[in-house]
Amino acid sequence: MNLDLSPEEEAFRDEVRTWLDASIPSEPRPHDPWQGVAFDKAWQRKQYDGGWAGIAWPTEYGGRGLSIVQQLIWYEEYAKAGAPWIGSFFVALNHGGPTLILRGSEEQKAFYLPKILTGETNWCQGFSEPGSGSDLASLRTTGVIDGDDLVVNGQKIWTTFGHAADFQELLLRTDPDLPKHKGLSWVVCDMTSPGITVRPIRDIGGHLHFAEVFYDNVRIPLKNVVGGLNAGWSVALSTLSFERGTALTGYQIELAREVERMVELAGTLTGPDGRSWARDAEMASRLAGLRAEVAALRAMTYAVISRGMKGETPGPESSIIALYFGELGKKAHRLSMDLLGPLALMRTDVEHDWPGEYLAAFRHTIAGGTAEIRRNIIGERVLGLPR
Amino acid sequence: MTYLLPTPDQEELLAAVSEFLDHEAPIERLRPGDPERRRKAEQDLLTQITGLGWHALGLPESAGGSELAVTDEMLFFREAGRRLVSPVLLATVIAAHAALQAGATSLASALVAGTRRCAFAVETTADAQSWESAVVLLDAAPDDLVLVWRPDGMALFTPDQVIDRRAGEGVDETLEMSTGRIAGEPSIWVASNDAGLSLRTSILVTALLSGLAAAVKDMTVEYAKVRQQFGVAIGTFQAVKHPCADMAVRCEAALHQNTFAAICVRDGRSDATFQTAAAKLVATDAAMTNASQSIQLHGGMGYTDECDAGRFLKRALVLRELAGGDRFQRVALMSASGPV
Repeated sequence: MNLDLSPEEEAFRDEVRTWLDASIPSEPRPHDPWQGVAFDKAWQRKQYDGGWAGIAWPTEYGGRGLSIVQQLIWYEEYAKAGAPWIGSFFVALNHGGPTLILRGSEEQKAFYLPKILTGETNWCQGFSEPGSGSDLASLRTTGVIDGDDLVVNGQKIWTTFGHAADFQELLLRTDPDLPKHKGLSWVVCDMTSPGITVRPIRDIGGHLHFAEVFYDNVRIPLKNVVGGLNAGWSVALSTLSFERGTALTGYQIELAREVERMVELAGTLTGPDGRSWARDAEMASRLAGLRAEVAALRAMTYAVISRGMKGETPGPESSIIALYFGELGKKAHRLSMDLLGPLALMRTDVEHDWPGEYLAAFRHTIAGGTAEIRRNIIGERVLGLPR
Repeated sequence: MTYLLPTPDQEELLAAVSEFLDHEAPIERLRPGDPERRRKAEQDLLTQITGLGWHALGLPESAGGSELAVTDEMLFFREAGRRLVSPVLLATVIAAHAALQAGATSLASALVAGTRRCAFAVETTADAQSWESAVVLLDAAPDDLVLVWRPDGMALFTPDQVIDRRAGEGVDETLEMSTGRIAGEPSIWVASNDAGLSLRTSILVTALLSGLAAAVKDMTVEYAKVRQQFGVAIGTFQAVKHPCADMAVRCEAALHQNTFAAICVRDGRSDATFQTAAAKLVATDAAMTNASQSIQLHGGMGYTDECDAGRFLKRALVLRELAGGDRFQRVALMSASGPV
């Protein structure tokens, strides 16, 4: 049991710090959905050129082949330095890429992975459908084999960065006669393929991050199937397990920073009685509780990393940390609203869009598996309760 | 290298401790019965543990210990917490640490050997300037030494320094609880530096709470698998399943933060106070909330003295007042220097 960094890890951390200090873009990430994506690509390219892309990815595909601890150090320093949000590279770097590393063919890995790291291509996710949310395996978008292609028809929804992604990890029903979990395939879809229509959806905070995607006889080569035809559910589960584990590290560190900002705010703002919020017993107690839980979240992240070092692949227990993070994020941002009071009425004119962050926090108990589904997973697959 | 999980050596130790305690300290031993018999059985259990040396993992070999660290002690006390082992065991270990640091080696040896015992006294009046406080004694025998936790150090008193002793009905009837008053200066006072004995005590109380939270979660999950209503196991219902999942989440938070904080204390990190306070708060919440939830999920049985759920809750009420209660820890968390 240890928290120390080895001399090599410390040297690595110093190297990361130095590079980030010198290289972080001076201008903020643009809010515009197209300019934001262009920004993401340029920033990813810059990280690649600096030698910082895919820290824990295999070297043969452009990664650094370093340890998961070094990956953690990168995330921690990245957040501390105030580096830009991962934006439209989240799916590529945290879902699509890792899934290919686990389940892709050599050809697929050699083709797709380097393009992600160099910032050339970003990815989006095509899992959920209007009729298939929590019951994901009931999905109805079909892929019918025709020659060397799958011909795809149907509709996906909640596709983050669907408007500007180059590739999509797409879950299709390729055999309607098999039981619902058995007839699915995980394929890579080129988003420039004819027959794809993307309709952006405005989120609760007013941003255009996600979209509906319609497929009208879209042809996807069979060689884009990852993990074998009709093996899509197990491939998707490896992606989802990944999302519920380390993929949250960056968000977790960001949340810790936000809570510390709230503590600072409480010291400077006064409540309706003219006293500092920090002198308000209830607020102080809530802030202390948040700090304690944020500390525990970090410890849980370290435990996930430790399991990774033991060589364990993320399983259903990843839902525990994801659920804790989601609930904590909502609790924290609710506190920011209570703290700001009337100052939360305007999203502009404050140094930080707290109301926007508050609204955005709702996604963390919905996206990637709702809190309810996560509780089912923990209950059934971790604790062994009956279905 | 950052690593929060038990090492293979620690796993082995844990397995041995679990196997022994599963056999010798089942929770059923605390069910209502003759209090005298229960007291004797608990003393026999402490004697056996003392014989195995597990309580002294963190003490130097010269004092009969294993020369391991607070991180190892934590693992043992977590298992002890699962079985609601009397807090006398922890008080005795901390008293041995205090005696050693004060140079009282023969007393330390007697505490390690189990020929002397020590009990916690929880101060119910707060006065940092004086030792003349009213206390609640936890499972103290008449000739036990008495240990008082203060954030700036640990104080050890001789049995005769607790006056006006009055036996009463404590909230946890599986412990003998009485009130009294401290008289005079401590016979041993060990001031804490940044990562001193007070923090070590908090870490180990947190381990007891974290173990308790896990045990009551396990018990409830097993019940939800066998208890049938409407023709199915009640664990089938999300109204039962989801609270069980939440219990598991709280356990995970308590476990890992306890480990994180123990490492900080062991290594004398500047955030040891901060992390320890966070760990105690999170573990207290896990223990209290899980035990409360367990009572609810056991339904009518949960409300009875026959069900163990209530015993977990009542022990949690006791443990959370040890080594700084919630209010103390919140203040510590808001004033200590933050995470590294």
